[in-house]
Order: sequence, then C-alpha cells, then structure tokens
Amino acid sequence: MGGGTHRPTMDLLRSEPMQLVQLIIPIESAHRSISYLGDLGFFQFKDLNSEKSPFQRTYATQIKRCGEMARKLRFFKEQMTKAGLSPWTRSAMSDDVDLDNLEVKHGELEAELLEMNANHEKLQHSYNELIEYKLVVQKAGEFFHSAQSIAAAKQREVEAQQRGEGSIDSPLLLEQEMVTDPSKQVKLGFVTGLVPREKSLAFERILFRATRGNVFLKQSVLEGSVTDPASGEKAEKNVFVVFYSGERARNKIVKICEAFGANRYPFIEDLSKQFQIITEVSGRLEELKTTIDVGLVHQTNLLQTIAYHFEQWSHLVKKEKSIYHTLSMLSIDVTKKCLVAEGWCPVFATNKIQNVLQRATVDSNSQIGTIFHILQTKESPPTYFQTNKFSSAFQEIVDAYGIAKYQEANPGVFTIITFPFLFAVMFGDWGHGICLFLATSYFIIKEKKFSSQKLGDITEMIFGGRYVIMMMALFSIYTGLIYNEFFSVPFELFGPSAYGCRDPACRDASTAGLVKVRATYPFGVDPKWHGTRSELPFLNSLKMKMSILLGVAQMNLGIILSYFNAKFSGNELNIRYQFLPQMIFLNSLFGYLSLLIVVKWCIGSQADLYHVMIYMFLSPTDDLGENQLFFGQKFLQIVLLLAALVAVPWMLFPKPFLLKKQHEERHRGQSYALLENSLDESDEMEVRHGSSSHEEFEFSEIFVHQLIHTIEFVLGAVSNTASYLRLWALSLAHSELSSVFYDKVLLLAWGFNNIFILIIGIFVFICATVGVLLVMETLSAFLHALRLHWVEFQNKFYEGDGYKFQPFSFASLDAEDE
Amino acid sequence: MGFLVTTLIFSVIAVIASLCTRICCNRGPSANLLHLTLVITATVCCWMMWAIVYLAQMKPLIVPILSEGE
Repeated sequence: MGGGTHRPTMDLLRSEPMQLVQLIIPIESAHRSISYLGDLGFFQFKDLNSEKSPFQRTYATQIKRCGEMARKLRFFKEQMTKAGLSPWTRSAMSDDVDLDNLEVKHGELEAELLEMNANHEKLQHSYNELIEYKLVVQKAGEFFHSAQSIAAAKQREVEAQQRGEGSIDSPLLLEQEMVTDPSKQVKLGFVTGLVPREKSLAFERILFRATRGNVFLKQSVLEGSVTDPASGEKAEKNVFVVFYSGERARNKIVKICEAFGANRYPFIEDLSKQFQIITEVSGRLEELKTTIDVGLVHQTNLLQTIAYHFEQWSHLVKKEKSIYHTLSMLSIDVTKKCLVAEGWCPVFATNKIQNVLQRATVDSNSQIGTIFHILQTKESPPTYFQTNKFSSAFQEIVDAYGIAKYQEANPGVFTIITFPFLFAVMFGDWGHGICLFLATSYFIIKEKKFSSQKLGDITEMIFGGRYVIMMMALFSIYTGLIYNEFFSVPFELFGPSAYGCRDPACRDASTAGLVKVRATYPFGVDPKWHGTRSELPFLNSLKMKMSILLGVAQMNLGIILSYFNAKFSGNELNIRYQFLPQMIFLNSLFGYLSLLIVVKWCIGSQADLYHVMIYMFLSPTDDLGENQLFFGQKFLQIVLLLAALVAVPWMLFPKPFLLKKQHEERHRGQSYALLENSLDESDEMEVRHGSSSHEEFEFSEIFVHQLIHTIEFVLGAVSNTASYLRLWALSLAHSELSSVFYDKVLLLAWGFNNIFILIIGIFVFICATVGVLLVMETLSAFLHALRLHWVEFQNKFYEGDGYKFQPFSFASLDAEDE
Repeated sequence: MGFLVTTLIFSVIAVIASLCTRICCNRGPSANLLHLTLVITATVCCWMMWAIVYLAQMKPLIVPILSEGE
C-alpha cells in the first residue's frame, strides 16, 4: 500500500492503522470481556443488530433494569439536594459490587425513604394543626373572657339601676322581663378558626352578604406567621369568631370557610376546660416535636450513607448500562453458546486487547477462550490520532473543519506551528504578547485543579485551548520584537538605529528625511520609523510583500503535502497529472512574483512590480526597460508564461481519460477475479466485506469533476494569494489601534500633569487595551488565521471526509454525561 | 554580511533546539521525527519573517521623514 514503510513514520502525520476484527466470545465471559474492553477503551463496536428495534434486542430487560436503577439514583439525588447534602466525590471504589445485590439494596432504600417522607408529612401536618388549634383556643378564650367581663359589668350596672328605682309598679314589669319565652330564646352558635390575612376582608364581606348581615364576626390579628397544615408554608393569619343563628346560616358559613381555606377548630366556652385543653395540646406538641426531630435525624443519617456511596453507585450503573447496550450490539451465534462481535481497533492495541480478553476468560472461569480474528475489508476505517494534552487542541481545530480521511496527511502537524505563527503576524506586539502569556500561564499552572472542576462555557473553551493560546502568545512576543512594538512604542534593543541626519544641523529631517548611515538594524523594524510621516507607506509595502511571501510558502507546502499523499496511496496519476502542473502553475506566477520581490529588495531597484506582472501577461514580448531587475528577465518571463499556459490543460485533460482506461482494464480482469474467489475457501465475511464488483464509472461526471477542480485551482491561485493580504490588513489595524490608545489616551493624560487625570487615563488605557486589543483583536486574528488554514492551506491537499474513531470506553462515559 | 551571519545564527539555534528536544523528550523514533518537524517549521517561519524584514530595509527606497516638532 504505502511508500515509506522502511522509513520511520511520523507521529500524528497519518492516522493510526486500523483493522476490522471479529471476536467470538463465549457467553459466560461476555459481560466481563466487554467490561474489561471498556476499561481499555480501544475497541469500537459495530452494531450487528441495527435492524432490530430496541425491544427486540437480547439484553433489553437488563437495560430496563439499569434504567430503573438510574431512576432510583436520581430520586436519591433529589432527596439529598432537598436535605442540603451533596455526594462525596470519588468515594471508595470497591470492585465487583454485584449488580443484583445493589438493585435489591436500592429498592429497600427507596422504600424506606418514601416511607420516612410520608410519615414526616403526616407528623408535620398534625403538628401544624395542633399549633393552630392552640392559638385559636388562646385567642378566642381571651376574646370570650373580655366579652364576658364587659357583659358582667354591664349587667351589674343595669341591676344597680334597677335596684335603685325599686317602685311598687316595677315588680310587675320586672317579672314580665324576667320571664323569658323559651321558644323565643334564640341560641347563638359560633364558629372559630383561622383565616389567612390577605383574604380576611373578602371573607368578612362574603360572610356578611351570604347571611344578609345576620352574623357577627370578630377577628384578631396574630403576631408572627403560622405554618399552614395543608400547604406547609408559613402564612399570616387572623383568628376569627363568627356568631350566627340557625342551621342554614351555619351551613353557609362552613362552606365559605372551606372556600377560603380557613381552618375551623372547635371551641369550648368553659374556662376550666380551656386550661385543660391548652395543657393537653402543649404536651402533645412537645411529643410530636421530638418525634419529628428523631425522624429527621434518621433521614439525614440514611441520606448521608447514600451520599457516601452515591458516586460509586451511579458510575457503576452507567457502566452496566453501557455494557448491556454494547452486548445488545453483538449477534448471538445459532448455538446460543457465544456472541459474535465486530469492530475496529488500532493495530498497535492488538496485544493489549488480546491480553484483556485472556484475563476475562480466566476471571470468569470459562473453558473456552475468545477468538480474535482479523477480517479483510474494503470499508474505510475510522480515523484515530493519538494526541496528548498539547496537540489535542490543535487536532480539534483541524477536526472542526472535517475529520481526516483514513491515513491521509494530517494538517494538524503543521498547524501546531503555523497557526500561532500566522496569528502572531496579525497580532505583533510584544507587550500584548506578554499579557496573553501571563493570562494563559495562570490556566496552565492551575491545570490539575481546573480539569476536575466544572467550568462555565467560555472558561471551558479558554481552558481547553490554553496551549494554543500559549503558543500564540510566544509567537506574538517574537513578531512584536520584529515589528518593534511594545504597546506601540519602539525600542532600540538590538543595536543602533540605521538612520541618521543628512547633516549635523538636521535641517531637512522633516522634508527630505533621514538617510541610512549605518548597517541595517539587525533585528526587526528600525525604531526610527515610528511616528514619521513616511511610516505607513514603508510598513504597508513591507507587510503586503511579507503576506505574499508567507502565503506562497504555505500554499506550496500544501501542494507538497498532496504529493506525499499521492505517493503514500500509490496514486501515480495524481502525482503526474495533478501535483506537477499545480506546482508549475503556482510557482511560475506567484513564485516568480516572490522572486521578484526578493531580488528588488536585494538590489534596491526602483522597478514597479505591478507593472512587470501585468505586462508579463498583456505584452510579454515587450522590452522591460526601467523595470528590468536582472539579465534575461524577458526570456524567463516568456518561458514561465508558456509553462503556466501549458499547465492548465495538463491539469484538466489527461486524468479523466487515464482513469477511464484504468477502469476498463480493471473491468476486463474482473471476470477472472470472480473465478478465483469461488475457488478459494470462501470466508463468508470476506465476500460480504468486499465491495461490489461493479464500481460506477461515469466518464462525464469524472470529467466535470476534474474541470471544476482545475478551475478552482487556477482561479484560487490568484484569489488565495490575495487572501493572504489579510495578514497585512489585520496587522495594520492592530498597530494603529495600539498607537491611538497610547498617543491619544496615555500621553494625553500624562500631558495634563494632574495626578487624577493620569489615574483616569491609565484606567481608560487599561480597559481599552484589554477590551479591544487583548480580547477583540485576539478573537479576530484567531478567526482569520483559522480561515487561512481551513481554506487557503487545506484546499490544496485535504479531503477531510473520514469519520472519527469512537471506542467503547468508560472514560468517555463520564465525560459525555457532564 | 549581517544577513548571512544572522541566518547562520538561526540555523545554529535550530540545531540546538532539536538537540534539546531530543534530549528532553526522547519518546521513540516517530515522536522524535514529529518534534524535529515542529522545531524546524518554527525556525523556518521565524527566520523567514526576520529575513523579509531585514531584506526590506537593506537598500531602502523610502526614508523616514520626521513629522513636525520632533
């Protein structure tokens, strides 16, 4: 298959070689094997029962059991949160806790908790009722007592008056008054109870209306709130006494009380009985309180034991559920004695898997071992890269665009360096780079602590990308030193500036400018440029040319990677009829432009490169005149132009025709191939996995595909090169913003010579720097560097239509739940 | 002159860096090759940027014209 088997491979360049494996597992060791494979995490199971519904699968009952246990665990968690407890993290992990025992235990615990909750409710209800009753008795008693004393006083007054009068004819009157008609004597009944304060006015009104004013209501306010027995919440209530006459009125009053949620309690007028009742009720309240407290303590203890084991149990249940899901994916052999599993695993993990299966066989005391059988298939395997915490972030950036096809060159290798580098070209300021570096080193130092915590969304993203940001910061410090910008202030760090005055008096420094008097400033942009009038023309020219040079370099790297891809998969066609013309086309135009740029810089000529490039196309045979940079340039230009013109049909035509010829050859040999297969002892699997012999070959489709590819490349050569100019654009924006904040905020504040204005100025400067430059510009440059990688770099070679390797692993279970 | 000397310095730094990574994290030939690639890519990128900026200033066509009041 690939070239380079004798040369050492490079980590991360191509995805790990995978193999399709068939496992034949005896039933006794099935559960244990899957469990150990889950611990290992290197096997991706294929679903062999995909046509069956979830209920038809073999282990549906087990999964239901696990689901039931998960529900009980959720109930426990709810109860724990209500009681204010939280599960202990990572309590003692004792292996081999039997699932059946656990199920029974959970059932018992649940029943106990439910019972305790019900009892608690009942007790609490009684408790609240008794409290209300006590209050009613007290308040109504007061009211009756005061009313009676007033009535007694009035009676004595009336009697005193009457005795005072004492005339002869009065005894008759007295006698008449004393005799009261029993039938006419109306008995007043009363209802006592509690009504919520908000409803008391409405209560009064409705009572009045319903009984046509024939009731007497007396309310008294209770200080403090009372827990309502029905709802369990504290509410402010009033004690009321309603006096009525007649049975009908009584019914109405009772119904109204029920409607308003006013609780009625019986009241006995007898004073001595009241004292008795109060003492009785108080005694009962004490009892109830102790019972409730004991119950609560009991519940808390139970919940604490649950909390101790909770993490372990929930982990176990999750594990078991996933094991049974996986077991359901396996197909049962006809003899019902073993399960057949199929799946992908990396080749390097073969020994580990075999050891693990061996261990499972031994541990489950099975007589037969598991059979590990590698299958041949034409199916495309999943892509798996072994990344560590440093490279995983970069790999995710690449994967976000598309997962690499199996064993194609992974742009992630170069992305580790070029992505932070291109970011830094757009961000170049070593002051800002140092700030970014300090911020990200905080995350890296506290790595262990953060990885076990649950972070918010944005913090999670920043934490996940901490190494990316660190690389970005380091490269930004480098490019900042090259651009010579420290919060937009240049420093003369690497030697004297190259520019000096023309004459000692420096008269025309502002008109004709300085001259180069010493050797070139050895590292970076000369510090004299900052703040001059010709700074922008110089820097723009420099940065634009730099963008083109960097862009051409990265695109060439992309095309070279496509060469390595073609060589790896033995695709000669791609090398001869795609790689070569693409290289020739790109380099004869933009490679030549890069050459001209470098030559112009070296010579210092005044040639106009726009003119040269445009007239290379418009009139190639014309004399270059002033724009000539080197001898033989005209001839070279004509040659390059012809090469580019030839490269286009070279990319377009040969490949479809050759593909057609290849397909015909293969097709011709197909009939012989079929014969061969039937002669072999047919492994059923092989025929199943071999692709159908009739590959579709539509010539027109292939040709159009090639045409689109060619047009895309040719036009893309121009547009992608121009797209790299964003390196210039963002770098200019960053330096201008930085310069504005420094000059117009900090220096302005300094100029006032006032300490308060200076402090305000510094504060505004810091806010602006952090908000605009460190946050917004970082995101902006990040995005554009990402785009340059995803589009301009990767469209030269990346196919990205693979699928990711997702092994059955318990480690990923916890991750996906959180 | 200054160009060649500094280019030499960059290549020496590249060699030293690859040796350091080889000494510090020697994890098998495939991992070593990856580390080497990363170091060389980084050095090439850094050198290119330095070289571009240096070459642009070797024989300047524009000179700094100070603004008024400097």
